[in-house]
Amino acid sequence: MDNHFAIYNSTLYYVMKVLIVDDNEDITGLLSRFLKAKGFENVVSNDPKKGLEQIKEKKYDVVLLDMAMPDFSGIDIIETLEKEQILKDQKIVIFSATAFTDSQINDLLKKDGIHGCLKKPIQLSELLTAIAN
Amino acid sequence: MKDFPKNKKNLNFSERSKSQIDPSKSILKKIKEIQIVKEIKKQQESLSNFKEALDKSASVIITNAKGNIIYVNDDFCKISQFSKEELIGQNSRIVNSKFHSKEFFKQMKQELNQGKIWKGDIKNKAKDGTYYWSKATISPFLDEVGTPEQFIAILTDITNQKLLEANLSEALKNVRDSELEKNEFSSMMTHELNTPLVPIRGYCEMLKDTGTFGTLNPDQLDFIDKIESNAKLLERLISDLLDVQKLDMNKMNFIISEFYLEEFMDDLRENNKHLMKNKNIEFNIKTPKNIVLNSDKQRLRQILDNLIKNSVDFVPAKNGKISVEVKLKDNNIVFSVHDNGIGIPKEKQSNIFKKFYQIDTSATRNHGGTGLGLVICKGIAEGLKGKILLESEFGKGTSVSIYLPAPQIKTSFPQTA
Repeated sequence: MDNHFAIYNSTLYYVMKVLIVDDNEDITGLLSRFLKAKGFENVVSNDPKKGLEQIKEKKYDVVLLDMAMPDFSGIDIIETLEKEQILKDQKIVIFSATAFTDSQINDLLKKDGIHGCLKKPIQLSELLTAIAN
Repeated sequence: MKDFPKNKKNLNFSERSKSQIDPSKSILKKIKEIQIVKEIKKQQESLSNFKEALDKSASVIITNAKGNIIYVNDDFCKISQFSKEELIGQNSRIVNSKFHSKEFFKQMKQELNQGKIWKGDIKNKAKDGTYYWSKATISPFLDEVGTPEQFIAILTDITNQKLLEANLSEALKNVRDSELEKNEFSSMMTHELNTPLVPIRGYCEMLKDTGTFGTLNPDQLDFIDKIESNAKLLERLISDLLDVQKLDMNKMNFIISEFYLEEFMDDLRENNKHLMKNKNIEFNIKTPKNIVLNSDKQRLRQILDNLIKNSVDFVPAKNGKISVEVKLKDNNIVFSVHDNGIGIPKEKQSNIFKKFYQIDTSATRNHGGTGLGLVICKGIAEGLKGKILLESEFGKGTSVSIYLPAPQIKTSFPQTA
């Protein structure tokens, strides 16, 4: 993994890289601009299948993954990673769509590799906490 | 009895006659014979009454051991559309609709051969090829060794009933399907409605983050606040709809955990402090100490937030009072939210837990909402095996109490907080 560092107030900081996978461009645009302003490097994927390939590249410290995407959902991505036994290596924070029940979300959170869940509408301050964790 | 004079002497007549050597023996015999004949006639009459009643109300068919028809009544001819001549001698398979499986008839035969009575619904085919349903009772007539030599079937027409049943189950299926469709639709809708709120809320949050994104003048900040508070309201309405849908589908899950009641109530107090201060409402919380609850913290909080929000909207602008009281009562823990608001008229109280009900539907009402808040509170309370009670007097105020059952109360502290 390429490491990125930044110097701020004469201190060297590690710059986290975040991958955002969501089919909605307004949402990825918001998150991308917000994270950039907060000092995170980030890459956006509006195509879930491409997103899956990017996740497999393992270049990212955190993956923000939307659950409800048409054709190939976040669940499909998680299931693929699980099948290939590489889910546990990931640091994924899911955005739960309201269509998911509490128990579905709890089941997802029990899996190794899934580190957090943000309920839509996401609060940006919560997003920072989730990434930091 | 009519034929005998009603005196004691004559009543004992037959007694005496036994001991006497008889000049009158033949008379007695005659009388007995008359009695027997009368009895037989009576029984025949009664039998024929039975037969008439049976023929009028049901179809009757008698077959021999092989299933060949030896008797049918008019009713059977009428419903099967065959004449007696066409039926007698034929096997009863003549009316077989082929609707029932071989297994069905095998079981029927098995029971009948064991001398048992078979009861069930049979679909038969009439001469013109149409089908009819009968409720059947088939009894075997057994010979001396217990083998059936004849079968009598008594059938009542239930074609209309079956038709109704079919229509009803079709209608029920349609209702279920449309219910499912409706639920899927509303689940999809709530998601779709929520999605645009993400950038709306997000960009508001970013604009207010003046440290990162630059300053705004006070007017601009105020506009952003207005956009944000309306987006929040919309979010709440969507979340209400989703909760009602979850309750309707029985899909609301509860996450039960142990927590300190005092901490929980302190949190409630803290979170409402500013709102109450801004609205000049006197806000009090009274709670017993040293209680650990075992319940769904978030859902319980949701109920209390909802009840408090209702109270805030209905208390007077001056001297508004809201208190939240927690009490232990008869193995229940009771959370009550009291207010000195306008109260609810008696005649409207029974509607208060109905979906989409608003007491005040005027355009000038100051309580906005979906009319789902109390429905959700009730649903959650019941989901936590408790109940919700409303007491209110118009003009004086309202109290809403949540009763949660005993297993959710512990009086000892857990080891770790």
